[in-house]
Formats: sequence, structure tokens, C-alpha cells
Amino acid sequence: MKIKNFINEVRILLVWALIVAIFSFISPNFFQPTNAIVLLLNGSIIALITLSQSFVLLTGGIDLSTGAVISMTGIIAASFMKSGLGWYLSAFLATLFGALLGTFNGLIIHYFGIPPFIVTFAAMGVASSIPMIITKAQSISIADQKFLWLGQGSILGLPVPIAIVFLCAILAALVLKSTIFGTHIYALGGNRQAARLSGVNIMKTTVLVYALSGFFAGLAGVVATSRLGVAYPQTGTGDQLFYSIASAVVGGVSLFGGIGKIRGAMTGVLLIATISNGMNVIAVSSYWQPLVIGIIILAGVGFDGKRGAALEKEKKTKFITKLLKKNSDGHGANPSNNPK
Amino acid sequence: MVALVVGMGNFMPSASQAAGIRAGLPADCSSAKPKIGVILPNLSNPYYVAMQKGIIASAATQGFQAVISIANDDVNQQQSQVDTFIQTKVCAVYLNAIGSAPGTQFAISLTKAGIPVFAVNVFLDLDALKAGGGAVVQQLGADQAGGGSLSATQALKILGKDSNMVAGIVGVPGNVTTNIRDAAFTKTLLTNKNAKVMQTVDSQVKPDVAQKVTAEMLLGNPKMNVIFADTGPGVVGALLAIKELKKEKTVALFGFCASSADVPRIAGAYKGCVGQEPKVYGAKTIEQIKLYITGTDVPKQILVLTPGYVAGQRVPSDVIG
Repeated sequence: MKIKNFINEVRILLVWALIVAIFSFISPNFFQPTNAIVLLLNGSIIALITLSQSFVLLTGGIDLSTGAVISMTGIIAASFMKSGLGWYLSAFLATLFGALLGTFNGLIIHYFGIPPFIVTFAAMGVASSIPMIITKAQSISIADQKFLWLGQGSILGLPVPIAIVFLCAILAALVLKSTIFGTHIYALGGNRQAARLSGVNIMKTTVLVYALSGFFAGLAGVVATSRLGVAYPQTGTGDQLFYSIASAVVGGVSLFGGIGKIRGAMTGVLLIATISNGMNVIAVSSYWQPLVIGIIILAGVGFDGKRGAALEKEKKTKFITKLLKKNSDGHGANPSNNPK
Repeated sequence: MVALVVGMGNFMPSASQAAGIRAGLPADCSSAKPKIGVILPNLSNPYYVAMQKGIIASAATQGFQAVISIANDDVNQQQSQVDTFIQTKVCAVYLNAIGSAPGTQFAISLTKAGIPVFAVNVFLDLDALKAGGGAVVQQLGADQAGGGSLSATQALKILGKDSNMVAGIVGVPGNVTTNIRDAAFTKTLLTNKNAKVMQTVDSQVKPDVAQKVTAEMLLGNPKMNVIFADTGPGVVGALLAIKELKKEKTVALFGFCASSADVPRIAGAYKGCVGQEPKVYGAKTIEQIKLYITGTDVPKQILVLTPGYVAGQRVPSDVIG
């Protein structure tokens, strides 16, 4: 399965390269350094919430509240600054609010057994209402102009949002690859029962994963608001959620849990951001754009569905083979051990 | 007359009845505080937030109870809001439909239920309305085509009526109202033989999306020197994109005014805008409803001219694109 995942990631990269080639052929304006920077900048918000989605998808969950959290934390940060708090503390507290909402989601999902789809859908309603309630649909100006560095500044020529994404992606990848927590995330998504029986703390893993999701979404909100230079209650309520799920899945993170890497998810972001950017650069009509993105997602999810079914079949085949081997060795079998 | 009525069947006339209510209206119009059912597309656009303020303030003055329903841009939700108002037999309906075709159907249903309809912003299809047995008392709205045309006129005047213009539109292609603005802008701009309109991108009426798509459009069209943003949030995002790409000196932005809270001055790349006064539209329609139900005939259509503003002028806080 590791080799299959790697092949899938390489395949996405090849598709991306093909799309770049096509767009570059159609318009010489596409393959320019300025456009590359704009593409990465515009993709940075989606990249951050794709990190959110990747963590929860790996556990077999989903987080529908990330887009709404973007607008919520942006408004909260601006409100704190308006009340006199410094920009760094405002940004930190706003991001923390995102993590808190995520924690709340995780606790509800675990202790009440409510499906993540429902819980995070409800959280989406909460997170999108809070900015409206605070601002009555008006925008809030940024009181501390130093805050704008987060979205409009640069570090050694690299725009800060892109630097933030790189840093977060590397940290996220390290967490998944090299920590016990990361192993537990994969175990939980791979086989919940087996994970529990192996001693994985399901509650802690679930809550932490949703808290992380909320954290990245909160950070995305702060960066998005800084980029705009003003806090809007509608920021992040466009296609960002949809693109983040699509990016993760197209990049190899399975909707069924247990499979996927941050590297793949970020490749998915690159693909989706490139297509979204390229279609405007080469002037594809807005009426066609959702169709094109939809087809690519369908292809990605379709492949994932096939892979999920293959994975289930592989698990069952392995179990039955093991069972038959036990029988032929004369140890008998307990039908009640059949995994779901 | 009033005393006679009191003696006949415990009927107590209200103050509005004593003032004279038009015949044939729902019974609620004769109540102490008649209900006006208000249907708005959303409250995420500051335009409708301002309109709602105008409605609420005017309703209080005119002695109405405004029952406001927000559809979140969902036609099905508007349908069920219309059904609710029919069930609750409100005195009149203030209808800002999401689209002309569904709005026409809503007006037909309301007419058949005996509820007078006042359409705002999105004008109904009068032929289809008549064919379906519906009617609309009044249609009120900004002159959308006039606004689009005025914006192009500003561009021609400021940049030169024969100058080389490569224009792009930051629009909302799925929206009928903004399409009217875009079409009028394009028609007027193309009176300049040296002008062309290259493409329209979808801002989704969100400044962050507008920023993204404007930047991409500018990168795809390096010679583009005119942008028309047909909504206030579109102007905000387009302006940010122009600044981000450091094109303030080469690209001129026109459009429907951004809120003065978001963009305090018309300056730099932002050369001119046309405004709407949704708070006034909301208030005026409620006044028209009052006139109508108390027996005064009102105009079938009121088209409000959009004011234009250029650099150096201050956009009033109630003016929104």
C-alpha cells in the first residue's frame, strides 16, 4: 500500500505538470514568476485548511466548519485589536478560538457518538453566525497596521503566508511521521477497533485531531484577514472548504481514513490552486470553472473510492486467509471475530 | 359611522380603518399594526443590511410591523417564506427576489392569496405575471443599467473617450442584476472604438475572492488598464489586487461604490464609482405601501438614479455599491 500511495502522489504531480504545460501553452502569461507567487499566495489559505482536513480525514472523520472558522477568527482578531490588544496577542487568541471550537467538536464527536459530519456542520453554523452577530454583517478595520505583515509581508523575499504554509506543512508531516500521536492517528483511521484494543487513547486522539483542525483553520482566518487588510464576516465562506477537502482527497488522503500523507495533500492543493488560477489567467468562463474542478474531484474521489473498496477487500481477504490457515492447522475459528 | 359599526356585531374599527383603508386588502391591513412581510436575499451583503435598517426604521414610523425573512440566496427558502406569509395573511409583501423568474411566480401566488406585492431591486416579468394572473403594485429599484453606463462614462471622461482601453469585469455572472450593470458598462465603454472588454471573473460578492480573481485576470492580461467591479465587495478586492501587483499607476478601477467604511476615499487606482442607497429604497418602499393601503394610488415603477462619485468627492456613508 505504501508503494501504491507513492505512485498516486507521483501521478498527481504528473497531472499537475501536464496542466501547467497546457496552461502555459495557451497563455504565455501563466508561466511567469509573478503568477507563481500569486498562485501560491492565493493557495495559502486553502493549504492551511487542507492541513486541517488532512488530520481529521486520516481518522476517518471530516470537518465542515473550517471555512466558517476562517471568518470567525478574522473577526475575533480584528475585534481584539480594536479593543486595544496588540496584534500578536490578538492573532494568537483568535487562532486559539479556532482550536477551542475544534476541541469542542472532538469532545462532542467522541462522548456523544454523533457523526463528525453532523457535529462539524452544526459548528459551521455557529462559526459563521458569530461574525455576523458581532459585526451585524459590517466589516472591521484593522486597528494595528503591524498585523498586516502576516498577510502582506515577506521574509527574505518569500511572502509570509507562503512561509507559514511551508512551516506548518513540515511540522504536520513530522507529527504524522515521527510521533506516537501520528501513529495513533493512522491507527484510528485504519481500524478503530484494533486501535482501541492496541491501547490507543481514542478520546485524546480524536479531540487533539479536531483541535489541530481548528487551529489551522483559525490561523488561516488570521492570515486571510491580514491579507485583506480588513476583517469581513464573509471571508472564507466561498469555495475554500470544498477545495480543501478536494485537495486532500485528490492528494491521496483517503475519505475512509488511515491513508495519506501531508506531502500528498499539499500536492493536491498545488493542483487545485493551479487549476483555479489558470482558468482565470486563460479566461475560461466562470460558468465552466465549477464543471472543470468538479470533474477533477470526481476523478480523485472515484479513485479513492476504488482504493477504499480495494483496501476493505484486502483486509477481509487477509482475515479470511488467516482464518482458513488456523482451521487447517486444527485450531478452529470463532465466527464472531469477523471484522467489519 | 364609527358608532354604528361598533353597535353591529362587536366590530371595533382600528385607527387605520377610521383613516380609510383601501378595499379588497387582507384583514391584517385594518389591524392596529399591520404586518408587512419582507423577503430579502441575504444579510451577508452590506447592501441588504443597509436596506433592512431602512425598512425597520420606516416601518416603525409608518405604524407597521416588519416581519423580515432572509433567504440566504436560496430560491427554495424564498418560496417557503412566501408560503408562510400567505398562511399568516400579512397585509402586504415587500419582495426582493433572488431572481426575476422565481420572483414572478412568488408574486402570482401572493396575488391569488389577495396580498399586494411591492417588488424591490429585482424587477418581475410583467408579461408572465399577467399571464399567470398575478400583479405587482409597484416596482422600485436603482437604475442598474444607468449605473453601469454611468461608470463607463466616468472611465471615458477620466481616461479619454478615444484612449486605448483594455477592460476586465469583476462581476457576479450568476446574478441578473449585476449582469445588467455589466452589459450597460460594456455597451457604453465600447462607444470608444479603441476599447475592448477581455473577460469577466466571478467575485462571488466576496472581497477575498475578488482579490484572487482580479489578480489572476490582471496576470492573464498584462495590458489591462481598466477594471469595472460591479459590487462594493468586488471593488474592495479588486483594489487590493491592483495594489498587490503594484499596478496602481497603470490600472484604473471603476465600479459600484465600496462602503466608505471599507474604502474611505476615492483615490489612487480607484477613480470613480456609482452608488446605491439601499436604506432609502427600503424606507421609500414602506412609505409607498402605507400610501397604497390608505387609498392613495402609487406609481407603477420608481427607478432611482444612481449617483456617481469621482476622486476628491466623499461617498456618503449610506451609499453602497
